[in-house]
Parts: sequence; C-alpha cells; structure tokens
Amino acid sequence: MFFELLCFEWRCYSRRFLWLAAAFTFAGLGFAMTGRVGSGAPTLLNSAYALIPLYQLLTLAAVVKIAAFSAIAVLRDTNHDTEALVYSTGVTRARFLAARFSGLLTVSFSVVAAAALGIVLRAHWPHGLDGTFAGINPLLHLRILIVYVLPNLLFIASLLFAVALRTRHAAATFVAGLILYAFYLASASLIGSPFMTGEPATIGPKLQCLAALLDPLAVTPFFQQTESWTRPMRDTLFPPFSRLWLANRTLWLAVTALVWRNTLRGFHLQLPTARAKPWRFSLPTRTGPSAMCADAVYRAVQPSHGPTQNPRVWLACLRLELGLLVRSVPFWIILGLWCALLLGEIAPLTQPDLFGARRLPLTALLLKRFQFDLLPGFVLLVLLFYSGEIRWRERDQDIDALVATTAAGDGVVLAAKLTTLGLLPLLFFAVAVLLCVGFQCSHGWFHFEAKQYLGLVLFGGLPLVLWSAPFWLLQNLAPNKMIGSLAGAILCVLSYGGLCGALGLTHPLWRFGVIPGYRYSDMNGYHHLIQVFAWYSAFWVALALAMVLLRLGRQRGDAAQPLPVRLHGLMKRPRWTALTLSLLCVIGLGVGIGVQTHRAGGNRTTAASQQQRAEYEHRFAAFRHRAQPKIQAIETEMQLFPEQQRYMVEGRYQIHNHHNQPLSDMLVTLNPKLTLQTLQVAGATRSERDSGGVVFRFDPPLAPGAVTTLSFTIDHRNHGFGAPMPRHRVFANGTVLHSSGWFPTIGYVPAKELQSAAQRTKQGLSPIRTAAAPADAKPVHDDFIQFETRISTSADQTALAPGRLIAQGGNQNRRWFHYRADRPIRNAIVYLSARYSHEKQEVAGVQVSVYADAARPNNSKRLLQAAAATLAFGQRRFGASPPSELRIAAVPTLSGISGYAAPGLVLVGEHSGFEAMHRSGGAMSHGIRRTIHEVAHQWWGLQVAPANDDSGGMLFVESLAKTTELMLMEDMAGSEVMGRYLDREVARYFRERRRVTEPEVALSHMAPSQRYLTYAKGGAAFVALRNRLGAATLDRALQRLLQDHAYPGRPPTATDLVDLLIAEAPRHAAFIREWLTTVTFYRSNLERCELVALADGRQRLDIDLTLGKWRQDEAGEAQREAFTDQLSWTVTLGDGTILHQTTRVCDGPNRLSTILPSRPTAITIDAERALLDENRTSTQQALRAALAR
Amino acid sequence: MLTIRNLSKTYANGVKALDRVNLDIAPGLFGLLGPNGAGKSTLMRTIAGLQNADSGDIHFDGVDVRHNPNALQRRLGYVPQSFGVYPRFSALRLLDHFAVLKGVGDRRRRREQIAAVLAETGLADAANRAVSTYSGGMLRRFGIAVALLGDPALIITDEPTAGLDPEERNRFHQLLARLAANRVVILSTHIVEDVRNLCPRAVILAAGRILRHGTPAQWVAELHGKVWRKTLAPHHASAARQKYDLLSTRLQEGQLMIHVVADRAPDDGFTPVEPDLEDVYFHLLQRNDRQG
Repeated sequence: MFFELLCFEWRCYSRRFLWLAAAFTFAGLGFAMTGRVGSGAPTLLNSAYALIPLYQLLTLAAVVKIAAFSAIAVLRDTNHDTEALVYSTGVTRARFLAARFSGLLTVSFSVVAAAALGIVLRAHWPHGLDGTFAGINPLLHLRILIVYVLPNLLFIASLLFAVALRTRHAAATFVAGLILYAFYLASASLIGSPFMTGEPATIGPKLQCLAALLDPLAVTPFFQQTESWTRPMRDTLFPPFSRLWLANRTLWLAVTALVWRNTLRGFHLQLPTARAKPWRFSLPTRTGPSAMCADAVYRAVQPSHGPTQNPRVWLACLRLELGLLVRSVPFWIILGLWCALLLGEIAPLTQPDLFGARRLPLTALLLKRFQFDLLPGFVLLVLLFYSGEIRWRERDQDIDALVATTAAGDGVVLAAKLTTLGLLPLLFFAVAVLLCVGFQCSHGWFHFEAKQYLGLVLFGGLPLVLWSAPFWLLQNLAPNKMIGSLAGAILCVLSYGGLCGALGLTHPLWRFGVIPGYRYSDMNGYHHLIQVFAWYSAFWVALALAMVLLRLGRQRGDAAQPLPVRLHGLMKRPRWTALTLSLLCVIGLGVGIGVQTHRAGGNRTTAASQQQRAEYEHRFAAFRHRAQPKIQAIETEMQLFPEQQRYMVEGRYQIHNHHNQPLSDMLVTLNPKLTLQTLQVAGATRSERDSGGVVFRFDPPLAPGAVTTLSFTIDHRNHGFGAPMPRHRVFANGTVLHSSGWFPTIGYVPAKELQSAAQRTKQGLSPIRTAAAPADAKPVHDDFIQFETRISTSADQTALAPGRLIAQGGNQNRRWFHYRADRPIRNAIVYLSARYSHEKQEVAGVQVSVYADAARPNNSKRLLQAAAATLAFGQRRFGASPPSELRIAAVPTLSGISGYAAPGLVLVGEHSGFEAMHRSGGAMSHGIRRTIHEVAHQWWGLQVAPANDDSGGMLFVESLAKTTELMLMEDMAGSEVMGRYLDREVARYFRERRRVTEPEVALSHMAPSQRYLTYAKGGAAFVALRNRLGAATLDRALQRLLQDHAYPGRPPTATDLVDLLIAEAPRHAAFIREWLTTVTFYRSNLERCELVALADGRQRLDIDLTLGKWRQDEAGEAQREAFTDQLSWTVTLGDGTILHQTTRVCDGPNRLSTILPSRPTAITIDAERALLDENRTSTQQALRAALAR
Repeated sequence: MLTIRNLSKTYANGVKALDRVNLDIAPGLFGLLGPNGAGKSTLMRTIAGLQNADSGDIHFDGVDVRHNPNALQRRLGYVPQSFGVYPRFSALRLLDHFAVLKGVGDRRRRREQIAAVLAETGLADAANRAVSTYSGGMLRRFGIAVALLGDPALIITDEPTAGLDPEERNRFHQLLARLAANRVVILSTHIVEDVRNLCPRAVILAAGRILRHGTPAQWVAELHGKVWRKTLAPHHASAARQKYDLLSTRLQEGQLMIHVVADRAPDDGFTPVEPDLEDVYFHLLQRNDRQG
C-alpha cells in the first residue's frame, strides 16, 4: 500500500509544471555552475572534488523549491478541501506522513539530480572553462547524490515539512525556507565558508572543528578534509568518511530525528482548528451589541465616483495592504531576520583587528558592509515573496469576486498593491538606517551623515522599488504563485547572479534595475554616479511603467486561462497611449545609453575586448623583442575639470635611442579607451594604425644616441558610462589619473596579452610563457625619466604630482601647480586633485606632507608619524635618500587603490588608512602598516627597479617593502605582534600555493601576479634571513644593493641579490639559497611535551617533535629529503625570563630537552623562523595546550 | 430593468455554459433555478462583469454592461456562491474598506450605512469580531452586508442559502424580500423551495438554455390535473422506473412515492395531486433531457 501511495505522490508532483520548471532550472544551474564553484584549486572539472561542492551549493539553492513542494505535500488537502475525505479514509498517521514525506523527498531529489544532466551536457559542450573534463562517470554522480545530497535534502525537507504541518500555511513554509537560507548564508559568512570566501574556513583553528560540525550541509568538513589534497588526489579521489564528516552527519541526522519526533507528536489526522494556526494574530473578540448599530436604519447612499474617488480607493487599499502586512507574523519574522543579518554584518566592524586597533563606526563603512550585496539580495527575496502574496491575496482568500464587483478602478487597486510592494524595500532600507544610527550611538559616534543615508535610499532603493514591476508582471502571467515566484527567481539570477554574463549578455541594460558604477566614496559621494543614474533610472522607470501598463487590467479569472489567452489579454488591456510613450522612452533612453556606453564611454563587450587584445598581439607581437627607443623625459600640461569629470593633457616625450644601432620603426601602444586628439613623432611618419597601437617609421632611421620628440594631446571626459577605468578617472573630489597604461607607451606591452589559456586558444594564440627568459633581463634602467608638469584644477582643490613643487598660483576659478623632479624618477606618474587638508613635517631633510580629505581629516597625524618613522628607518638602515618631498595623499575608494607608491607620492585609500583607522589601541593598524609599506617603496621599486619583473623582480619591490614593513612593525609594536602577523601571512602562502594552477616557483623566479610569493613568502624569507644572518649583515647587503643597483646603476636580478647576501654571509649560503632559489618547506608535528618536576624544585622539559622537509622538484612534485639543521627555540618562564635554546634536529623524530628553574609559561619552536613550517601554528597550539595541561 | 439578449458562453474545454440566453428582469425578486452545471453561476458572473461572454448583449437601465461593466458595478451588489475574507480584520473595518471601494466617500454617511447594514444583517453584535472567525451563516450575511453598501440597484446572490440552517435561511429570505422592494434582486439557486417562497418571477435554466421563463404560479397552474401520485413499496422502485415515465420519486415514511405527469391516470393506484413548483421543475428538466 505504501508503494501505491508513493506512486500517487509522485504523480501529484510530476504532473505539475512546477516540477518540470524546477528540474529544468536545476539542469540549467548544473550546466552554468560547472567549473565555477569550489575552492578554486585546479582539478578536473568533473572530479568528485569539483562536483561535491557544486552539488552542495545546488542543495542550498533547492531550499526554496523544497519549501514549495512541502507546501504542496501538506497543504494540498487544505487547498482543495479534501482534508476530511483523506483523513477519514482510515489511513494511519504514520503511513500518511511517510507517504507524503517520501513523495516530497523523492521529488526534491529528482530535481537536484536533474543538475547531473546539465553537468554532463557541459562536458560535451564547447565550455571555454579553464580546465578539462574527465570521462563521464554516472556512478560518481549517483554516489555524490546519495552520500552528500540525500542527507542534506533529508534535513531540509524534514524541517520545512514540519513547519508546513505545524502552521498549515504556505507563506509560513516559504518564510521558514527563507530563514533557513538566510541563516545558512549568514553563518557561512561568519565562519568563512568556502562558498563565501572561496577558501577553507578562515576562522581560527580552535573554531574550525566547531564550524565543521555546525555546517548543516557539510561543506566546511569537506573543504577541511581536502585542504591538503594535491592535484592528483583532487583529480582521482572520492573523499573518505572522515571522523569530522561522520560527526557532522550524525549531528544533523540527530537534529532531523528530533524534528521528526516533534512532528509526529504534534500532528494528528484531524481538521485544523483555529488554535492550530497559532502564528496568526486575531483581533480581540468584543461581543455585545455595537452602540452605533443599535438604532441604525438602512438607507441607500448614493456613491460618489468623482475625481476624489480614485485617491480615496488607493488610500483605502494601501491601508488594507499595509494592515495585512503588519498583522502577519511572517512579516515580523522577516523583519527580525533582517535586523539579525544586519547586526551580524555591522557588528564586526568595530571589533579589534589583528593589532588591537578598532575602526571608527563611520557611516560609509557601516553601509559598505551590506549596501551592495546583502541589502539588494535580501530585499529582492522579500519582494519576490510578497509579490506573490500580494498579487494572489484575493484569490487565496477567495475574496476576488467581492472586490472585483465594487466598481473600484482596476488601475487604482493595482496601484495600491504596487505601492505596497514599492514601499517594502524602503521599509527595509529605513530599518537598516535606524539600525546603523543606533549602532553608531551605542559606540558614542554621533556624526550622522544624513546625506549618505538619503543617497543609500535614492541610489540603492529606487532600482529595488522598480523590481516590483517585473515581479508583478510575472506573477500575473503565471498560472499560480509558485510559478510566478520561480520565474521571478530566474529573473533575479539572470540579473544579479551573473548568468547574463555567462550567456554573453554583458551590457548592463540586460540586467534589470542595474545601475553600473553604483559605488560610494566619502570623498566624492555619489557625484560620479549622477549622470549614469539619471539615464539608467529613467530607462528602468520607463520599462517598469510599460510592464505595469501591460498589466493594469484586473485579473478576472485570468489565472484559469492558458498562457496564450493571458498574453492576449495583456495586449487588450493596456492604455495604449501611455504604453506607447513608455516604450518609446525605453527605446530612446536605451539607444542613448547604448551610444554613450559604446561611443563616449569607449566600452566594449567582453568578447570584443578579448578580440581586441588578441588583435594587438597578432599585429604587434613582432615588436616584443625589437629594439625600441626609450622615454628620457616627460613634460605635461594637465588641465583638470573635476566638476565636468574631464581632463585635457598635452604631453611631450623626449625619446632617446639608447641602442647602438639605428631604429627604423617604433611602436606606440595606445589605450583604446582614450581617444587621442593628436599624436606625432618628430622625424617619423605613421605606417600602421590600430586602436591598440601605432607604428611610426623613422625616415631616416633614428641614429644611436639620437633624440626625438613624441607629442600628444588628449581631451577625455568620463560620464561613468562604460566599463570602469581603474586608476584613471576625474572625480568631483578625488581625481586619480595614472599615466601608466593610459598615456601612449613606447614599445610592445606584454600585459595587454590575453592571459587565460582558454581565451588564447579561442583567439588562435599559442599558450603564454609563464616566466620570462633570462634574456629578457634589462641591461639598463629604461623607465627612469626626467619629469615636469604644470597641472591646473578648480580653485577649491589641490593638485598633486610627483616631483618638487616649484611654483603655484591661481585666480578665483583655477589653481595651478608646477612640479619638477630633481632627478630621474621611475615612470609611474600619477596626477591627483581633491579638496585636501594638509599637514607636514620635516624628517632628515625630507619634507613629509599628508593630504587628507578636507571634510574628514581623521588620523592624518598618525599617518604622518608612520611615514616619518619609515623615512627615518629607511635612511638609517638602507642609506640612499628618497626624494626631497614625500606626500601621502588620500584617494577615493572608487579609484580601486588601497595603497600605491609613486615617486615622492604615496596614495592611500580613504577607507584604507585615513578614515578606517583606530581611535584607540596600539601603535599599529592595517592603515599604518600599509602606509609604511608604500613609503618603503621609495627605496624598493622606485630607487631600485628590477632588471626583470617577471622573474624574481618582485624581490626588490614587494618582498623588500614587506620586509621593511615587518621590521618597522617589530620596532613599533613588538616582536609578538609582528610574529602573529607573519604567521598569518605564512598561512596565506600555504593556502594559496595549493590553489594555484601552475607549480610554485622559487622566489628568484616569481612573477608579479604571484602575490602569495611576492608578499607572504617574500616577507617571511627576509625575516628568516635577518634572524639567521643578523640584522646588520642583511642591512649591509641591502645597502650594497642600493649602492650598486639603484638608478643609474645596473638593474639587479634575483641572482645579484643572492650573490650580495652570500658575499655578506658566506657560511649561510645554503640557507640563503634554500629560501630564495628553491621551493622548500617543512612540516612539524608535536608528538609529546612533558614537564617533570625534579627533586631540587627544577623542571625537566622534554619535547618530542617530528620534522620533515620537502623540496619541490622541477615537475612540481614535493619530495621529502633528509636534513640536519640547528633549531632555535625559546622557553618563557613565569617571571618573563626568556631562555634561548638551540638543538640540532634532523628529518624524523627529534627530542628537545632542557632543565628549567621554574615552570614555563610559553614555548616557541623555531623562534628565529628559519623553517618555512606548514604546521607552525598547530604545533604552537599543541604546545600551549600541553602546557595548560 | 435588466435585459439580456442572445448571451452565449463556451469554455475552453468545450462546455457550452450559456446558449443564446434572453431575459428581461424587472425590479423585484427574480429566481434563477437550475441544476448544478446549468450555467447559473456563469450567467451571474457574466452579468456582474467578472467574466466575458462570447456573444450577446446585457443592458441594465439602458447601460451596455458588456462594454461598460464598471457602470453596472457602481450600482451592483454581488454575493458570490462562495467567498472568503481578508484575515485578521473586523467586520467594521472590512465594511468600511468595501464602502470606500464602492464610492461611499463621506465618512459620516459611510459609518451610518455600515451600522445600518450590520443591523439589517444581524451582525451588529459581531461587528468587532474578525470576519474570518464567522460561521457560514454569518459569513453569508456579511456578504449581503457588503452587497448593500452604497446604492445597489441590482443585487445578485448566487446560491445564497447553501449550507444555512433553517433559521438562518428564513432570516435570509426575509432580508432578500425586503431588499427587493425597489431594486432588482436575482436569486440564483438549485433549491426549488427558495424560488417558490420568494420569487414572483423566475427562469429555469439547464445546459445553458432557458427552459421556462415566467411566474412560478403560472407554471404550476399549467400542470394542474396532470400530476399523478402512487405509493409503492421501496423495492418496486426499479420496476416502476421501467414501467412509468416518472417525474420524481421521494420517500415518505418508508414508502416510495412516485409522481408521473400524464393527461390521465397511467394505471391503477394513481391518484391526482396538486402540482407544485418542484413538479414543474422536474418536468421541464425531463423534457429538456428528452429533447436534448
């Protein structure tokens, strides 16, 4: 009998359009998400390692669908008035529940399983993904579905089924689904779920086990379990049942069992009574005759249908809708959930960072935490839910006939419903604003910025309000609420989920409600957005209006009609004049936006952009190794017009043939997003032109040592249409114009080449070389230039550029500044302009100035101190002086810069150093750390420029700047703080090295893009060298480096640095080479730590430590090798005394022993950080735990 | 005066719900009698402007209802066969809302009329209770209260007494009778007794067609002397069906009583009886079946 019941259940679902639509959607999701979900570690695209996270994410996506099916499973008897019939058949409660739940589980499983079809199809499709597919293995999919998906579905379905049974209400079930979904997303972001961060949980190791246990979908244990997997393991293995995974599954199965126990106890095969709906409010029952009715006599009242009737009806309907909203429990649950999510987002803002510094609760920082992702996402979900509730309310309550025959205007009733929908986003915005204000008050911060809050509501709220229109239209076209919601969800995914991009529809006009460039900056406000917002919002308003006009008619029995009839009905009802006008507006505005985006904005689709880069390579690759002249001097006349977001520049390059051969042609690489008005080279004619470059032919050829001039003019205005132009944009306040990559460049620019292997193959290009050949090393510095500029801006702003300020002036309308570099500087020219406030200090002959946003000069003094300290440190330890003037200037977050160093000019993001700073705490913070790092570049990168950027060059740039940062951090905040920070960097290195596609290279061969090497390992390497060689020895080597290789000396290679270090410390040559020229790492494991009290009161400490050393061979495989080395370790006693120990250790088990005068409080293994130990943190934790015992 | 001409409606599944219906309905109570599926609800909904007819015309006091349903709705009170209410709202609050929708703009007059309809429908005591907690009878009366708001010249009640207990039904009939004094009240029902008790004029509808249009008393008079009755033991029911052209059968005190329409007594044991509206109703349906 049970089987027959199950078959009946299956028929109930499988004959619904909802099931078909859901299965189709999941097949589509499987297709679209293949290769895009997971840790990012390279693996076969359909290996178990790749597929398990994909299926787990699909399970999460299935929550809403399961909620819909749960509602069907439980409420279809109620909805069809068959409860009494079914309950009186004699079916037992257990059999009834078992059949209904089994049907729900089966159909949910079938929908998720449909994703397998999409995944398989993707493997046979031209996919364009970075990676390959293995052969199709249906059993693997089945195994994942059974082992990973089914338990998750069991839990989710049980929970939602129970809610549906308890509440007997579809809305409550959907709300439960939303809560579950939101709860998971919130907790996942708190524990650093791989779905959120793309990497394993980033919480502390202490909490990792807890996080793994508490993850109901078992995503975290999966990633923790496979964290250390190598590529072959990822390609071939199916994760074994680890203890953590089994514990997680047991826990959540137990929770499921509890849910079922509660369900069984609370459910009886009886008709629901009023008390069975406890989630509903009910009015207090007042009985007794109503006084007002006592003597009333019925008389007809002549209705008034004059001009005031429509507003009156609108108001009445609005009041009713809002009344229904606020009287429903789901609404308050959603609102509570929203508050909880918001608090979860903003509360960590003021938590102390790694250095103990706390950030200010600035409005911009608070809003930034939810404004661009959580807020639109949550509000869209709410709108989606309520669009169905409000649209179908009359039918759900069976009151549509009563309402429809009242003669109230169709449009008015609709307008009231749409107003309610439109008010919903504003309500959630208002709650967010109130919560933020409350949060600020609770932290004693009373600088409320009403403009920002208003901007949030206008720029963020309007697009969401407009979403009411498509949701409404879809609900009206759909035969029922569920189909309407599903269609709305698909539209959301298309617009916000990146699916449009995956389908090649990259223009923002394809994504409903999107306003490109919607970002905020304290310096610039929303000024940059106004024009774009006006155009796009007008477009979306017109489109939304057209949608609303299409559906102004009342839904008289429409839901019962087939779709073609409903579509035909749409065509019959609209107010044609208004609709035509709306559509004309849509077309006109769309064309206007298109023209501005593609012509004025210089925007191109992703495909066109890729094709352009490929053409550049096809056309000009011959210049890659062709001798080209170099720029000797740059002189510019820059005019900035911040209010117009426009600049005009006249530039002159002095070009020098530094080769010993005549040059017949020269490639000038151009940025296609900028239109040059003039471009001329004296003594040369254009021979070839492309949007990416121009070839000039010298006639006669440019003789060795000869000099000529390239001159150009640019008049550029950026309205904000088109793709963002990173580091090159005029803002009303906070202009950042970086010349590199934007102004004409001499020679071939490899950075313009397509990097993705898949894209290169598609464009017919050969694979890119991963590392530059030694032959690419530059024999001389070719990017140091003489620089001079005159820069003018509006009268209220200060313009900054590299060099010494030699003159300035102005009148009522304009100010101008004249900068000139006293000596050649690296060609990394940046022009800035903003309303700055200014503080300065002189440090050892260098004028240090901090330019902060005049409206928010928070923390300027601290940055000034940090810059001064760095200058003093650098001059003391490394010698060579930086430029005579050093400026630290704030730049808006919109520029995409958090920290950047140009010669004599350091750029610090407004929220990365100036405003997001601590107001209490220690001497260090991330902002100060960043400032130190950028100032350190005045030596490393700007005085010493590497001979070969692509092969170890970053040692001289980022690694040494990081080293300076770490050493100064140690001086300012202590070695413990520096050690803690370095531990985190080393952990980042080990995490990243597992994720990269290509095998790791040694520091001496690293490329600029390998940030886990340039920063994390590079910094660790120099700290280890400093500790082993001694600070004085390292300083001497670095001083030699500056003396020999700073401009105009020969640019250094990594080999030069290794030789310099070895020359200073020859007995540590092996150690130096191991760190800089090999990929070597260690793994420690604490076997035992024992403290034995001796008879004389002293303590004997025995530590059994297993050590292993791995070295990566040329094939990229790590091989274990034997070693012996001196291991330093320290013991801290209760009185603060630190005892330094050294023990000779080797591969395998080692014992560290010592006799201590008293009980230790801390033990540090490898105190000098000589070993790049993957398990350093866990070993230290184990030691702490052992001591605590 | 409500005038319906050649009104036809066929649903997408091929069911012909209305087939060239012609009606003239003057003020007063008008009965619309027919079995389930006869097309009564379709006719009601079409008059109320809730669905469109395929062809035909409806005019109310000279207004073309099909092309301007809103004009009728301004003077319409409609009580559907079944309806619900918004949850968690009292009768007072909901009636106020409906009164606004119906164009009763003046707040004072609105309150007065709401009080009056509550008193008229006997809901004054429950005016502050959430309507969703009302019993079936109270809910029907609430529907009438909604229908009475404004100045309805046409009241359509679709199966209004279904599920009501005798007392509720009686009160409801009295209310309808009072309302019909100066307006058109259409009472759609399959309960013959309701029409007999209330409606001076009525139609009998079956399979979308009007079988009879006129006054029930006249229909009954036409059958005078043609209805015969015979009492049988219940086990003779099937034999009687084969032997006679039965008009109706009913059980009375355990005995089967059969009615037959004929010009003379069909057999021994038949006695003449005074026909009632139910006999007319069944007779017309039977004749329609034969013709169909």
